[in-house]
Amino acid sequence: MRYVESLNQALHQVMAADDRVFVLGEDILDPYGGAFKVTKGLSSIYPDRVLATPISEPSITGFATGMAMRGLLPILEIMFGDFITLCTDQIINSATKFSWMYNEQVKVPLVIRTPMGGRRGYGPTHSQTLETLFLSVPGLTIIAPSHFHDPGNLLRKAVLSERGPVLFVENKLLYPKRLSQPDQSGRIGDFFAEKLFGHNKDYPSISLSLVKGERADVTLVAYGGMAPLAAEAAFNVFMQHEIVVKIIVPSLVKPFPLKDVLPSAQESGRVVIAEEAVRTAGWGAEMASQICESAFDNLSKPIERVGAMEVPIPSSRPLEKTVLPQVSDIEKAIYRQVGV
Amino acid sequence: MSRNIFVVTVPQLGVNDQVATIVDWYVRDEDAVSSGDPLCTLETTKAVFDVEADASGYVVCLASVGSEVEISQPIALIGSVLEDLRAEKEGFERRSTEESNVRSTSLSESVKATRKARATAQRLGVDLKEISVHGIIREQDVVQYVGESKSTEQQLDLSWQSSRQPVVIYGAGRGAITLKECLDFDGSYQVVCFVDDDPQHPAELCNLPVYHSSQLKEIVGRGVRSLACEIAGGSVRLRILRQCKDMGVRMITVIHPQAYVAPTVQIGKGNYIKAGAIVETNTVIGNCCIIDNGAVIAHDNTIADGCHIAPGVAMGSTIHVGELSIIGIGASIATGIWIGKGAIISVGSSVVKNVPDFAVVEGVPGRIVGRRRSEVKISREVGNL
Repeated sequence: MRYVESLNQALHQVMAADDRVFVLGEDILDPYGGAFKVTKGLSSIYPDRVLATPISEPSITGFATGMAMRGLLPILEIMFGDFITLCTDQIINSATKFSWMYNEQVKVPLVIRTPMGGRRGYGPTHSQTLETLFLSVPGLTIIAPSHFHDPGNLLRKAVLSERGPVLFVENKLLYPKRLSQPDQSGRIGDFFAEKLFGHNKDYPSISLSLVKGERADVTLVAYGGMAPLAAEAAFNVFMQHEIVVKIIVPSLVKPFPLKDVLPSAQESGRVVIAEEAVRTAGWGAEMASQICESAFDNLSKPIERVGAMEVPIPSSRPLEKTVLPQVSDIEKAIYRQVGV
Repeated sequence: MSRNIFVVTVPQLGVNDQVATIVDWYVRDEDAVSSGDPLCTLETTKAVFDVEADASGYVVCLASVGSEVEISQPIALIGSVLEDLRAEKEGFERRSTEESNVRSTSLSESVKATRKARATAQRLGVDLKEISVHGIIREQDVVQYVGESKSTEQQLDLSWQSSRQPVVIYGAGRGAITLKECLDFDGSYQVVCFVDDDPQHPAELCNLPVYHSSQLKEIVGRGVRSLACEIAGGSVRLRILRQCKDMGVRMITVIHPQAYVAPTVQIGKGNYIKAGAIVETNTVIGNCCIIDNGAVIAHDNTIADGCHIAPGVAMGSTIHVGELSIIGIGASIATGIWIGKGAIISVGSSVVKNVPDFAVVEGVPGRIVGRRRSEVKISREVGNL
């Protein structure tokens, strides 16, 4: 099954499961079914609960927040993750604060779904990874499934657990990708896979290693759209130099999944964090800080972060490749950690 | 294509997709179509799109409903002569089954092995397909396979005088000959044979048999309870020490009669102190070190596991040398220096400042010029100590 089909199925399931679930967004009605087709088929079956909105992200975030406060379970689609900047005030000053400000008389079980990520040549304002702007907002949960996870299942949990607000970050490049689930022997291709529930029971991390039961040389952490690149880099360094990399792919980005990463970091002593956003004040920076606080004595080297150059993402494909982190950048970071 | 047959291919429908699914055909095989007639509906993740006929004539379909097709893949043929069309379609179908057969056989034949494993397999003449491993084949899997496949080979021919302790020497290179010469000075030991990891080892050394290391257990079983080793790599010597511990074998420390080792010196297991070496008062030496000819180690020094102090090294006192470090020929180390683990001091260098882990030092006065490449392997070793 493809990533986008998993999400679409989940939306159909939650709409059927609970009448309070509403789906809102721009251009989501059939036959178009949404810019990336994630909402395909919903408006035909549930015409009263699938709402096409005006092109105004601040407004639609506002009234989705209101819907949530009034007992509904709205799933709001923001067409491109770059537009999340327009929702900022509603998210930061309204949705995430109201439960506290009104002394829990009101809940805001709002789920905002949006695709982030570049590598399609869509240009500076349609290719960014901006969930990192929200990392310090109290009360916000950020989920970013990879193709190693079951995105539909995670979306279902995000909606039906009613513990919003949730920022559910999808990835444009992952939409058409087939999901990679472990087979009966627990393997995904050549990798030995394991689900880690140390951080959160509902939103597990996936750990991948090409070697079973051996201490890794490097811990590589990557989420969402960076997961396939991490897997490729780990494979390449193993085939070239027999360097054993343990990849940790969290699905829960915030609150920070330290508990899923720490055991491997302590064992290997070398950590590389690969992210598609810029490194400055980003997810990798916060994770590195937290890992140092808990595992400083175990580290052999300073933690390295691989991220985008700090410039707008170009439309030109070759230039975009230079700006966004590539598989080779991750490999180089691993080699630096290991001293090859 | 041939004979006025027009090939209908999958167009590039959007930036996001390399494949499309055939949702439905508007036409059936051998229907008549005119230019502009819709032939089928294709769906990608972003759009639903009709493919139209670009020619008139009869049409035959090459792909079925629900199948996934790639951009530029032929999905239909349009032509004016039915026999030609049928023949062409047959040709297409035959070619595509051939292709998928080739793909599936080549997949099952390709064995997954790392670059080092392939190189080692080629060097040792091993067919990778015979190695069964849970995962991708690594160099160590190849070496182990070679060891196992050799184990049924040789009959052991061992004998020794009852008044002497039998010793097996691990490694059958030139260093092993010096070690045997040294042991021959000691009337209480007798070298009975050598073992080596290389399956291409010589059959004999110093008129004694050489066996493959996989037969070590067998040799021990015959009553050989002491082992000595002078292999160049510290990690290898330490690995052998672990094997000895597992087998209940003593890895002996060998000291040449012309070496001076002060009475207060503490030495661990599996070391080799060669002729002309001087080790002074209160110095502590760990396991599996080699103190080479003429090395001078003054008092109160500490040499950790797996080190090599090469010929002619001059060390002052109160020096610490970390695990698996190599002090090169003729190097000098000033009093009180701390050298980390895994360091390399190049030939003839003088060490006047402390040396961090894994540093490579060169020159007079010594300067850090690089980092040791086998850092990961050494960290693993030290972790296992």
